[in-house]
Amino acid sequence: MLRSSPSTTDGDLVREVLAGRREAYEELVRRWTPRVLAVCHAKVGRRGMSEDLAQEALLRGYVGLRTLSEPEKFGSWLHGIAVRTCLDWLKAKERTQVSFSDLGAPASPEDVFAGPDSGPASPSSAIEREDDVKQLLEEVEALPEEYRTVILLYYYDDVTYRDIAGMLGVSPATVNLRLTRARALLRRRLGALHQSAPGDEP
Amino acid sequence: MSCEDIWNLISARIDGQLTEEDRGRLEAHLVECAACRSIDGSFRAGDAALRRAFVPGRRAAAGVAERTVSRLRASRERSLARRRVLQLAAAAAAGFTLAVLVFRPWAGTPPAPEVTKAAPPAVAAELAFATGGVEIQPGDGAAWRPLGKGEGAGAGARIRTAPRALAEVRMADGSTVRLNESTEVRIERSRGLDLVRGRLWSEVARAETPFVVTVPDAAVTALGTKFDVELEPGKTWLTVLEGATKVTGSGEAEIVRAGERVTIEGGVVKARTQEVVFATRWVNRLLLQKGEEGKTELASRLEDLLAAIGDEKIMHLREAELEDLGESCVRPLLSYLASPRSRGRAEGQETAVRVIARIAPRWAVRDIIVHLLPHENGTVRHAAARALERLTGETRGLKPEDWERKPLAELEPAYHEWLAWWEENKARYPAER
Repeated sequence: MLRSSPSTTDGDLVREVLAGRREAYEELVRRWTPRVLAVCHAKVGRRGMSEDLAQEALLRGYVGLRTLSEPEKFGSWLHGIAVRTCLDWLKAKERTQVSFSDLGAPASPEDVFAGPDSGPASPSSAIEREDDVKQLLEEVEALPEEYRTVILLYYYDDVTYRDIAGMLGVSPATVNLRLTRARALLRRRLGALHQSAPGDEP
Repeated sequence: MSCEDIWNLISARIDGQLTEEDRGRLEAHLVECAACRSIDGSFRAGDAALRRAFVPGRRAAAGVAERTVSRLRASRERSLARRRVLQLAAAAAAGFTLAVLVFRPWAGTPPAPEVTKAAPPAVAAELAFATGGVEIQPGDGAAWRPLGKGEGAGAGARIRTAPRALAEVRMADGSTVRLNESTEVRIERSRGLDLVRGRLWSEVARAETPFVVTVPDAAVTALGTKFDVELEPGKTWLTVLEGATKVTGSGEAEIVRAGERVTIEGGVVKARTQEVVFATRWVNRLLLQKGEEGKTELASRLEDLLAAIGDEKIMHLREAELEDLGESCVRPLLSYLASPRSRGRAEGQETAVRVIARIAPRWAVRDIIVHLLPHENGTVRHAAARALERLTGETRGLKPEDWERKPLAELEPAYHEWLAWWEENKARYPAER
């Protein structure tokens, strides 16, 4: 389930890029996109826009790579860029509310996770499950930011607490705690969804 | 240990992050605490639900990564091309050493990609033009829907043309792919597509990453070239118009070069022919309907064909034989002189222009003024001025031999004089029938 620790570290790849082998950044992009997307999704509250913001953050990372003083800390540095990219956008959006109005209401359940092949597959049970999925994602997006950030980071990618901790600059125990609180909040809000699980008390 | 601490351990166990020591503690607690057993059950169910719910999100993340990579590549290629031009310019102006010092090719500074605020999502391809119905299937299993001009398609999308509809697709890397009628392709990435059925023509933008078109039994790879691929039952036709392509199938890879037309059967390159001139004429139908831009390209395809014919004539016929052909050889010879094919080939140029000077009819006046008076070769200019004197009775104040003697820069006013003359008198020199 968990990502096996990569033989080439982020620091190695950063140094390769700076030494002129620019293709090495592509590996960093593939490695980090899910987590950058998760951070942007957590910041702006819906996936559609966060895809563009994640891409921009990754490109900004490439442009500014020379300013990264500790190559091993690429992840937390990139996290900072992603957050700033989102804040820039949110600020610009406030200023130019009108021109962004065509982007639609934020966090509407239809445009969040409306994957290309999420059309109805089989009758009732699948549709019911789809409604559950929508409701679940809506609740995730409604969590306090620090909780939804860890949930999104954890489920967008196959990562350890340590990976998330390194990116957010907190301890693995804090990641554990936030994930637990997030799950408890989701459980309370979506009680009906979770109660029929095996292993439950009668 | 409180129940709330236990919840952290429950979470950690689900996530595979539990230490052995904590595992013992957790299991002991669960035996005696029903409330925590319930939490354990609902956390697990929640985890499973979240994993299911994030499947589309993970797929989207993979798409974002690929789009970012293609933008990086595109910007790398652009900056490489820019740098080469600058280096050439500097090398020409100040010598190679200075160019190396100024541009320090070893420094390898990452170039700035064109980062724009909240840019629209990058796409692998977009529909540039269509003469009829074109549809897109955004992902495997999704419903087909009409694709409008200017609309994008991401990696993994399929595009198909209706019967009698032709389409032009612009890839994110700048390559152009044209689809014949009843054709279907799957966009793999900005430099790769799968031909599912029908026929495509592509003009591949030059880049380090190979451009790959896959067919059922082979892959056609190109770096920067024009080629045409047609699927037939059990057989693929490949026609290469410019550059070269590599065909990788079941056997050893084979190179197919410009001017060759081959079939690929069972992953092997078979029958080679040289008849490429008419092989891609289906593209002309698309160009005819494309308005001004299409007409320009169609005209340049025709011009290129004529220049090739002129080139052949110069190579295979003696001057007297060319003259005997009469008017029919004038158009190809004019095209040859105006095309890059004749560049640096003084002997061929001079033969061509001597024939033109002797036999060109009145409709050639415009081409002689526009293309031959400013020619790099003085002999060509001289003969062109003689031809104009013969056809129009005019010299515009400059003797024909002056067109050869004087440097090109000094001839510019005389050239403009002729252009102005043409504007006033063109009605008297009708175009070729």
